[in-house]
Amino acid sequence: MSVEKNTYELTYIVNAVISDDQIKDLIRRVTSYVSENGGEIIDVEEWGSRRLAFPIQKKRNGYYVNMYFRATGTVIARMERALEIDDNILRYLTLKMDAKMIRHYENRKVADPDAIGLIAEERSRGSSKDRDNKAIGKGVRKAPVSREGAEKEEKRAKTFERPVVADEKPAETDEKAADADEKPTETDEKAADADEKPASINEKPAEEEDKPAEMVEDADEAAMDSEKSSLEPEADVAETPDDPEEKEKNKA
Amino acid sequence: MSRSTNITELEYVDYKNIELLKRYLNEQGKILPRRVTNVPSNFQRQLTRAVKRSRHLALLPFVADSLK
Repeated sequence: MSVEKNTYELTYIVNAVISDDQIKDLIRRVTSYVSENGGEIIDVEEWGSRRLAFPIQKKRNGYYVNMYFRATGTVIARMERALEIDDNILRYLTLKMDAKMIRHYENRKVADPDAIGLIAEERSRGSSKDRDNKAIGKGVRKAPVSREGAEKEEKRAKTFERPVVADEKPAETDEKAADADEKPTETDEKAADADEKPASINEKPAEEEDKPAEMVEDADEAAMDSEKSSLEPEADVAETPDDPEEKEKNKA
Repeated sequence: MSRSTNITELEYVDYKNIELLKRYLNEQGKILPRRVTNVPSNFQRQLTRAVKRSRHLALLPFVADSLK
């Protein structure tokens, strides 16, 4: 029984509409399934509930779980089958990690031991609502929000990230009245969580300040590069998509 | 973590790094062609794969009215 083990990364989306207990239970089941079949769990990260980029099975939110483990290849097929069958798993993605990916993963860990997880703009937006970010729309995203800030946020991801959901809710109630209706209790519970971490929220704004400048430089460079190929408008839009005129051109 | 400044140092383009990926998408969420992005082909290929993975997990849209 000396089959070679590989390292895998599995990300899956759990239906966020079911109760917290059910989510925890499901995650536990997936994790134990792997470990019972001879897998070694390296890490399980819960990114928490996030807005999906598009609805999946009519759900607008999903609870993301990202795990890393070592197992033999035979486990994967059976695990994926189980994931496929479970109605509360909206999507999953299993990747076999090659040397580069493992190195990448470890570098991230070394750089910031707790800060593994999604590099999400949603998260920084949700928690730093002191800033005028709530106004959503184009304004929010045009200045690429500091990645640094997002990384800091990751630290909190370890515990729970539901507060973000709680934050998001009020602003977007119209759109997802359905979702919101289904879990009013959750939102309440989360308020308590939010209170636990004022510290990390406070340290954020300072860091975010130097980053945008860097980004802008980048955008300029890119714009200059693409002038050569006389494709400036499109490239420009990609980098700094806030100029309405440019946008027009791009569409045309 | 991947820094915006130096793509060439990136060994692996992570589908989780949606801030990075977004910079290579147009308004509609389409992947920009290499003649526009001007990145090494290896990077562009990884980028494309990462974007597609991200989309599968609903981290990025397949189509968007306005991504940014």
